[in-house]
Amino acid sequence: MDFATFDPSSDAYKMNAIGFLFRTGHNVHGAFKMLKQDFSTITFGEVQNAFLALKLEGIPVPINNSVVERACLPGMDPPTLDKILRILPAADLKNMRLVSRGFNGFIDGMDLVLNKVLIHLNASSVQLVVSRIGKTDIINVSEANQGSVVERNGVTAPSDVLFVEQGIKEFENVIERRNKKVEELRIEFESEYGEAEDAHDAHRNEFFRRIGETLARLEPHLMCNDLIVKVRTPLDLLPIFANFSSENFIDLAISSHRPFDVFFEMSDVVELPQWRKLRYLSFDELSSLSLADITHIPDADICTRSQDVESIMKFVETCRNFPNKLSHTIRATIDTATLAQRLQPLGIQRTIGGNIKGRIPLQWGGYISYEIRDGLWKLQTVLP
Amino acid sequence: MSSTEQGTSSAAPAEPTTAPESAAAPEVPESFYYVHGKDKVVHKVSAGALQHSALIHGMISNLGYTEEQAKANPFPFENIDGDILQMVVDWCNQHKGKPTPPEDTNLPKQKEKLFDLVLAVNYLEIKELLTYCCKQVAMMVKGKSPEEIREIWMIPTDAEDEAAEKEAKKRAGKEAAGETAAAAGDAK
Repeated sequence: MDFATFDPSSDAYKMNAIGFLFRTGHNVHGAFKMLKQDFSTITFGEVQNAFLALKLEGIPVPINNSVVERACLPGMDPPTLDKILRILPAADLKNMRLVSRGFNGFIDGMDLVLNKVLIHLNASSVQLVVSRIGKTDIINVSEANQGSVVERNGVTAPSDVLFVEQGIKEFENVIERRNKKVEELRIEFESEYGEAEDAHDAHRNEFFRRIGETLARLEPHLMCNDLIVKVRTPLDLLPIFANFSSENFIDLAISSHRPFDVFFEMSDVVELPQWRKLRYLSFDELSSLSLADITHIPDADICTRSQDVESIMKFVETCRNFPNKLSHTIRATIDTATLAQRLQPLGIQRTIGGNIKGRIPLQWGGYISYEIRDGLWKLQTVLP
Repeated sequence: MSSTEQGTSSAAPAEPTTAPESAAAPEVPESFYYVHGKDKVVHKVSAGALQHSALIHGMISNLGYTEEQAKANPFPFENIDGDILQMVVDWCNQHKGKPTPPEDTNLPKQKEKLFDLVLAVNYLEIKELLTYCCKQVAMMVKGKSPEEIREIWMIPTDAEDEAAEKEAKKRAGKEAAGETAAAAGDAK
């Protein structure tokens, strides 16, 4: 600032001098002392008022109020910030906690992250194990003469309703309190044999019916990253799977306790948007899944009916043309000899014992590695 | 669509151009209101479009303005930048009387604009647009590491925050001490 261009006796000169001292970080007292030397009539109040006016005008002094600085999440009002954070999946919320102490405290106050919920059903009780960062709650709901008994972290309370219904109610309470977000949901039941098995089946029927109804009722739907579920038939799976939010749903592991007499017809399941989102699938029971159903899943392990050589070759061609990182294990009846013969010209192949192993180079770099043996076809793409 | 024109002040706004007539003209003539932001550009918006904003809807309910009165008294939103208000008005017009779609892809991608839009929409209480904006902000956070989030959203680390707080306290203390000394000097 060139003070020489101003008339030293003018008010403009004085105001510029005050502005200069304000911008260079002087306090009111210091500025007043300095200004008093040049402006004998100046008062402390005058300097103070000028400082206040300059502050209100927000001239670029060491106070940060530039456009860029305004683009700052902590500047948002708490309800809006709450709304934004509630949209985030649990993994991102964990990252937000690490951004700053302020965010960590804010998220703590929101009370919404659940890492894992395990629901375990047996013949006379339902157990819920609810895990979150640094804390695990255990809720046991057991059968009683009249209704059931609920034990939450060692404290018991009676309930009028039967244990299965009460167990599902507890589950609903847990996820409602936590904004319907669970990183991993594990649903399992104990297997019995003979008469006990038949008696227990009535509980399981009720359990799967109620859990399906509960998940369907939630608005918005339960957001879950991983589902590990033990089911008896596709009818148990569909109401659970269909009533999750498709957002962030990536891992599915299905098991069954009747491996040899149930064929899982999956045509209804593969139509669901949740299926298209999967990044991992483990399904060790015989199902109607085809290669086309799992092409989009990078990591899949399935057991399916016989796969014809043509469909496998088509799948390999797709992998060659559009290389994605894949790791597939398909257990099915395959014409091993014909498949090996068709694959041989595409790369290198050798037979070790009963295993045929080979590599098919990809034009973009990397390769497809495969293994064929009786009833098993493994494929893995290794990208550069 | 909204029409905009440079006005001079909230008391004497410039005459805005008329909005194009919709294809199916309503039987009852639609009433229009006028709003302007920090830049004093006046936007003509139909009452139907303004229903999205709980704040403005509350203001205009039972107001009974004539066209002339509405023109002469535009609602001033001095805390909202002109381009942001324009975005809001456009959105309200586009979604006038329609069910809001589950996604809105026309939101600004630059974080400064989006941030200002969130503040404006929150102030104007436009619930649906706020939801879209929050989703958009969440998408910008999703999948990022804490360092990346800090960088994108200019969030200081705890150490930086503490240093700034210390500095502010020091400055406030210095000013308070100065004022006390000056007051003592004046008393003498």
